[in-house]
Amino acid sequence: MKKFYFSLYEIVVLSLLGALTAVLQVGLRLPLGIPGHTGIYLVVPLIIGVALVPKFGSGTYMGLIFGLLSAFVGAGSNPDYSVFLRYFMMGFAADVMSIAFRGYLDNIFVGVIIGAVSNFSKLAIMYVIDVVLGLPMGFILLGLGTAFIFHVIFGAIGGLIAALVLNRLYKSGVIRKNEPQPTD
Amino acid sequence: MELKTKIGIGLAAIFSFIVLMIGIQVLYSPPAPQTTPAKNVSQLNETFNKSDFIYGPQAWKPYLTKTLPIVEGNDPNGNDSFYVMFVDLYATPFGIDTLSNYTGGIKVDYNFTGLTGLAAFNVYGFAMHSNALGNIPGIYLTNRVSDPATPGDSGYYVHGDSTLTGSTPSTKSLGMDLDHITVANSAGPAFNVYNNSTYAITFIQAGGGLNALHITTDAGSNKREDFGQVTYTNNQSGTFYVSDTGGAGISDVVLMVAVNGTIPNSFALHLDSSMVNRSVFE
Repeated sequence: MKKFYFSLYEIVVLSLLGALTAVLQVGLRLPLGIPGHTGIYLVVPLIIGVALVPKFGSGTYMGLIFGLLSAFVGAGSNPDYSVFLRYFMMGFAADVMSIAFRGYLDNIFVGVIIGAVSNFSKLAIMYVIDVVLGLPMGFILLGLGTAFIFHVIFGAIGGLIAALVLNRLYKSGVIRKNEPQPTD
Repeated sequence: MELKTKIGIGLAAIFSFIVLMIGIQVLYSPPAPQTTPAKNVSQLNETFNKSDFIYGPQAWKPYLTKTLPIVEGNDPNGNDSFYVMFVDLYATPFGIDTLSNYTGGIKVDYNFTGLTGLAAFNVYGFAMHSNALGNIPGIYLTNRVSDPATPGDSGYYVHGDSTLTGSTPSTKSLGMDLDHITVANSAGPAFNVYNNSTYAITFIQAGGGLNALHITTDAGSNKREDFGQVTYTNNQSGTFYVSDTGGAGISDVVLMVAVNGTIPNSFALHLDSSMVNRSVFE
C-alpha cells in the first residue's frame, strides 16, 4: 500500500485545527482597534498542530486550510487573496520555526518566540504586498514600528497560551511527545 | 545547539527586529499619527457656503475605482456635474459589535439656503488603523450607492427649491484612492494625521468597505439587518443619521456634500452633528 507523507489521522487533525483557526478568526470579533490582536487566539491552534504532528509541512498545511477558509468566508475587512496569503504565512512561519524547536514546543519561551514570529509574518506579508502594489512608501512606513510591536506582543501572548496548553496536555497524558501516530 | 542558546538567539532576533522597525518608522516615515483627536471637538455646528465646494464637477464619489456614483443609480462616468465639499462630523457611530456601553449613531441636522439643484449626502468612515494597507490611518468605509437593485444602498438627497441664479464655484479635480481630501471645517479635521488638514482615501479592494456605514432616517438604527435606506426629500432642513453595522470600528466620520445646478453666492448649508444613543429610541 502506498505510504503518504501525512497519515489520514494527521491530515484529519491538521485540517480540524486549521479550520478551528478560521472559525476563531471569523467567530471571535474583538473590536480593540489594535493591530495584530487576533494573534492571541490565532496562533494557539497552529502551534498545538505543529506539536501534535511533528513533521515539516504540518504548519504549512494548517495555514493552507486556514487561509483558504478565511478567504472564502470573507474574514477580515478585505476578503481577497491577501487574506489567504496572510494566514497561509502564519502557518508557514510556525512550521519553519518549529524545526529549530522540535520537541520543545511546550516550553513557554519557545511558545513566545514561535507565536510572535508567526503573528508577525502575517503583517510582514502585507507589507510585501503593499510594496509589490507600488503603494507610496510614506503610506507603508507610517505606523510600521507600532504595528510590528503589537503583532509581536499579541503573538507572544498567544504562543504562551499554546505552550501552557501543550504543557498541561503532556503532563496529564492526553498526548505524548513523539507519540507514534495511528497509520492509515 | 542547546535549547537555551536557541531561545536566546530567538528572543534576541525578535528584539533586534523591534528596534529595526521602530528605527525605520522614526527615520523614514512622515510624522507619527496622533492617537487622540487633535482638538477637543465633540460635534459639528457650522455654516458652509459656496466657497467651501472646492472639488468637481463630477458624477462619481471617491472610491478605489470610479464605480460609485454620487447619486444612487446614476452613471458614475455620466454627465452629472456635482460640486463637492467634505465636512468632518467630529463624531463616530457605534455599532452593535463594539464593546462600548454606548451604541448609537450620529444625528445630522441640515439647513439649506439657496439650494437650486439636487444636494447629495454621502458618508465616509476614517480609522486610525483601517486594517487596509498594513493598518495605516485612512478612510476605508463608505455608504453603498451602486444601483437601486442592489440591497444595502443608502443615501440622502435634497431637492432644492431656490430660483436664485448663480455661477460656477472655483474648484479643482478630486482624485480617487490614495488621494488626500481636504475638509471644509474651519477647525480642520479631528484627526490631522498628515498635518495638512486632509484625510487619505485608502480603499484597497473593489467591492470592499461598502457594508458597514449607512445613512438612515431611523434614529434607532445599528441593527445588523438594518442597512439604512435611500431618501429623497424636498425639505430644505431636516435630519438624517449615520449608522455603523460593522465590527471593525471607526474613529471619525466625514460627510461628503455634493450639489449640482447653479450655486448662488448666498448659498449656505448649516450642519449640526450630535450623538444619539440607540437605547433612547427603543
